[in-house]
Amino acid sequence: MNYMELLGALAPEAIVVLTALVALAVDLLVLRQAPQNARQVVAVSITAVGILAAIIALSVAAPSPPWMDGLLINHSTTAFLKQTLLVLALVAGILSIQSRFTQHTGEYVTLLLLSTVGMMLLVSSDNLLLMFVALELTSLPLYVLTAFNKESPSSSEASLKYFLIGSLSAACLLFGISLLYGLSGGITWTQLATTLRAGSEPIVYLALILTLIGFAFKVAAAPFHLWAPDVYQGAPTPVAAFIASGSKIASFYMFARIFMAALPGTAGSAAWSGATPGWVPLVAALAVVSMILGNVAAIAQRSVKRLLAYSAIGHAGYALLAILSNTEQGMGSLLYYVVTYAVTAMGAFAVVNVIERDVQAPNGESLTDFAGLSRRSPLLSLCLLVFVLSLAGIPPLAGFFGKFYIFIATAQSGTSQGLIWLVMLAIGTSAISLYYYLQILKQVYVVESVGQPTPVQLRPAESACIVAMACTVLILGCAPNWLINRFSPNSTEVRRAGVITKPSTTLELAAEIHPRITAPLGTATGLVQKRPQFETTTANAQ
Amino acid sequence: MLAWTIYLSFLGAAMAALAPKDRPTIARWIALTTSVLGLGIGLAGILHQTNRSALQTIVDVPWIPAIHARYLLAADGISLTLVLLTGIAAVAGILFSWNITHRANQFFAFYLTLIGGVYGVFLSFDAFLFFVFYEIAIIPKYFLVAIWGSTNKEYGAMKLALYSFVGSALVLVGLIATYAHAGSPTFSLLELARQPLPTSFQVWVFPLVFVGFAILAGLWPFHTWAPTGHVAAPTAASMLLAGVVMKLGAYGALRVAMPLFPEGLAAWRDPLALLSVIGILAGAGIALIQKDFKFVVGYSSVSHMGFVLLGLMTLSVTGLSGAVLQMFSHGIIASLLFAVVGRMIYDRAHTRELSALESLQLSRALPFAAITFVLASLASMGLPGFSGFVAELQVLMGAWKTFPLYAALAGIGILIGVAYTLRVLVKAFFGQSNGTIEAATHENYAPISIPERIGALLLLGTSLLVGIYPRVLLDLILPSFETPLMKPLLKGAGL
Amino acid sequence: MRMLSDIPIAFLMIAAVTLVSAVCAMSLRNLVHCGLCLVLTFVGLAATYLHLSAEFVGFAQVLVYVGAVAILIVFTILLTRNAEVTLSPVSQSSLVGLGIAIAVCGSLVLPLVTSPSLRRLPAQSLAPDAQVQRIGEKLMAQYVIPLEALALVLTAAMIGAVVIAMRDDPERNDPSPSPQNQKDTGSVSNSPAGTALNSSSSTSSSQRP
Repeated sequence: MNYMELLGALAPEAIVVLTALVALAVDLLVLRQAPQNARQVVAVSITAVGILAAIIALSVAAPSPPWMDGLLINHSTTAFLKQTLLVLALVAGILSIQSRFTQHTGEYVTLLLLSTVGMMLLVSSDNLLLMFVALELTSLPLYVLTAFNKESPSSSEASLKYFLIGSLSAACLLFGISLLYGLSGGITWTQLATTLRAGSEPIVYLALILTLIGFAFKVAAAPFHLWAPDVYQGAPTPVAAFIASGSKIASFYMFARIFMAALPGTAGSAAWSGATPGWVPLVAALAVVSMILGNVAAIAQRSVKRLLAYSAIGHAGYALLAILSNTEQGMGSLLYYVVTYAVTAMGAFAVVNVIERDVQAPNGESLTDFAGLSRRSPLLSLCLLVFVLSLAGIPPLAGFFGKFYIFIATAQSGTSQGLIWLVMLAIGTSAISLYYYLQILKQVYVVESVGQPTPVQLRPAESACIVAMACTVLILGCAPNWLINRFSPNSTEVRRAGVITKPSTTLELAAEIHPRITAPLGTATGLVQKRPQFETTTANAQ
Repeated sequence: MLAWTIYLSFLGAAMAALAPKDRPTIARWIALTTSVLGLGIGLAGILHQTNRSALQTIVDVPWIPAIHARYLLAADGISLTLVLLTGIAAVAGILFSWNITHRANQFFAFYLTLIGGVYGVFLSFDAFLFFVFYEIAIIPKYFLVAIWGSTNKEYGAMKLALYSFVGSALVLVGLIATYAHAGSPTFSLLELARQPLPTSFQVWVFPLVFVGFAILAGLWPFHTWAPTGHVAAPTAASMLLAGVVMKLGAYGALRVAMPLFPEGLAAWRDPLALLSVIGILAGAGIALIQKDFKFVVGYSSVSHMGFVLLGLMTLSVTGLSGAVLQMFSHGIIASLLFAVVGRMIYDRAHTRELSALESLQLSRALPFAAITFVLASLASMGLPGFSGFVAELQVLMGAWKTFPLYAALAGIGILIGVAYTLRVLVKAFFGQSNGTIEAATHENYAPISIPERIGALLLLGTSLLVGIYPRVLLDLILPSFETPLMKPLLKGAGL
Repeated sequence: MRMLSDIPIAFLMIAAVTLVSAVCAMSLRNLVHCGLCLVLTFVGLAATYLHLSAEFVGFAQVLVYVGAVAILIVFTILLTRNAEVTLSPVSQSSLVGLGIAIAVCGSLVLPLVTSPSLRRLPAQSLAPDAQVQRIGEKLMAQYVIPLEALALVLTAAMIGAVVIAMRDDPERNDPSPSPQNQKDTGSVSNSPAGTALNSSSSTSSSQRP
């Protein structure tokens, strides 16, 4: 492979980076004196063109063989996820038109796109090194974007909190993956999968725990969720929407893949009777705490954005169930779930964005600002109804099938339905969640607004986005097949990329995939020269 | 063709939602048209049921292969009976909510969504599809009660929604466990019933699924949502709640819980029968001491639904067909009672306190309402000639063979039923006036309107027809117990 | 335990200096002192690299961090802030914090000490074979994608630092920001800028061939 081939494989990412730079340059060089609104429209238009080009590039690209050392994996699933991420980024851009939180439009769009590139690389990487770098590239612009509203102290506070906690979690993750590297001597999934086994070595568990903590921060799973409510509330709403949607997809995908594909030998079991140590019981603990805490704490919230943050924690708990099911079906259900969740959350935040602009309260919106919305804007309230009911898991919306599929995958995995207790808990907390979702809908439909209802101002692009997302949620719920087939576990491509499901077959699969790790790459690890020693010792230990 | 009952209702809901806000008449007529069409299709479906003993498949296409869910709509006699009930109750409900002007388009949109979900439940023979429709029916109930309701409406609505959702959560646990446990994964009820599940599994899953459904059917002690919800709901919604939604629960128990887990059923049969008898007695006893007219009818619903559950527990053809007949009969009569209380009386007198009504002498002011209520309460008491008589008689006969003590207790329940019905009848319509009624009060009452009269006659006529000639329905219901899904139920009871 | 006796004294000393200066950088009241302590921490890290015979990384650390980044931090502090900034005192519940720190440290150290695979002596000598040329080849060929991604991280960090530090045009801020407001954004403006750069480049201590 040469650089031209690499450029071909990386074309979508390159297009997005180029778009980001062009948007920045146009905004700073040409439109410095233009009115704010025009700058926003131009920047978002450039973004739209670039994103469209990248989406087309993704859809025409043939699946390429993995770049050296699993550094770049492209197949139909990753292409679809990247397209979803791009669309979400575009919506986040459109939502910020006419918003008054910043005058640095060019920088805003650039950072948004750079973060998207990070997510795209994250989805494509099969390698600890690129995974970490991509995770940083995803997070760093998001920290900055959170602070973009300089007039609001809560924005700065949220950003600082996000940044500090995020750095801490990155440190944990780095420590964890350095231990994984030290123990296995490799940084690709297949190298890790073939060497690491659960055993008597406590250090393996230490590595697992640290890696897990790093990802738990990224996906806002309790008890590592503390940043989420403040960031969702303090950040400018389009940014919060992107954090709640795009970064969730990328982080969850990577979360699932590093554990399912790279660490199948250390899975353990979370069955009610006969749990064995490994990462599965750890994920189960995270899931239990997240589901309970997220859904119970959401009841007490008075700000819709904060409520959505706690609900996101609860939803992270459900998604963790899919990860710990550790099967192909689990992976498929996870992807269906996070994609539909991302669209739903983006839609809900989009509605909140409109309301927030409408009320212009100094402290952001609150639940009562939604009172009587059904009289003020029937369309908006109908869309909000769809989003909120989908989050609550009411059929025939996508959120229902997402949960159902995850529960099925979890119940079927493990021996003799040992995980059914988790499904019961999840369904129980889901029943609790209906209460606070109905609180939102109660404001919208039941409570009458004070005084004469005034229509809500909606921009065409914005309302088109919101309606399109509501329709997506409805259609994906009625016909989930369309999405599921994209993540079909039978596709050989996905197998090659290492979505490995039955732990027992890992070795054969690895052997099948990895004759290609050629000698120069295998020995090319001289940077830290202690490594060969670990390799020999782990080999001896077996 | 029966599937169009579902599609038409949802279509009507969408059209009503899009109808202009300030022209309630349009939404009204859309709703009436779709529901009358639905009723017509239901009737036509009954007439077309050629082979009566077989299950008639309507649609069967793969839906979500990943979880082996099929879009499988079918109908047997039980489904058809309840589809007919839904059609009648829906039409009557719309006739009795003809006076709704506040956000009428939204009202009818939610109303028709609920109806569509209910039709879907009665016609689904795939457990996943069944569950989807079952949950679709939950949310419109909340809005109907919370927006257009009266006393304590937000509390009642939330209680109703949460009880329903908790019930469906229990069902969901059971369904997922069953799916994961089944030898070859499927959601088709027929195939699931064919696969033997281990007894130890059935024993813990059956109560989950059964109780989950029975919460909606008003099983004691999970019935408390029913009176609160009925009282808080607007007339049409309480008609639907008592008339149709409570039947969803009983139907789910009969259609899903019992055939799938026969051994679990055997293990839990006695306690559940006891609970249903307690429900009969407790509902009737509490109804006897209520001060609010609507609460009396609400608790009487709990009592009558106890008969349905007791009939289910008999596991004999007599008892089971009695239970289905009681579902139909109670659906009609409870709708009528709520219509009289909520629409004819409350909308005019603006009170439901029995003590206040006592002094109003409504029999003179609203003779039509009085006559309707007298007939309805006769039907509710189970007098021969009305549908309630045939249904409760069959349940008692079925129960007498298996649970003689419970049958006797249920008989006492009927006696209490007579007592509380007569009590409200006298208090509400034939009270002793102090001679201080100004004629002006009575003149303020709008006369009973044409839609109200049509609705009342429709419901009364149905009840009389079924009471006088129960074979209309029994000919439909009885062959249904010969289908491969239901037949093992009777065998399990050793009859 | 054999392992303890094998730990060289030099490593312990370097580690102690690094840790103590890091703690000081975090907890001292005067920002300039904090900055200087941070320099010392960087030096300690460089010494650790050198001690592990990773000369290139060690010298790069000295040049980039001690030489450039740290000095930049100190300059930024001196130029942008007036000296009489009063930071709020360290958290009241420092005892709790200490307890948590010890617990976390213990749970990190315990598995490391008890794991059998870490008790063995190095199988071969610690002689380095990582020449600068090989590092460069690796970075430009095999690991060129992470290298490019790091360039993007740095770009993002730079843009972010500028945006956060920049004072917005007052013409658009219709309500004039209160002094409280200004102070808040000001206090934030420094730290993410400084630390963002810091974290991004620390993840890539060897990205420059």
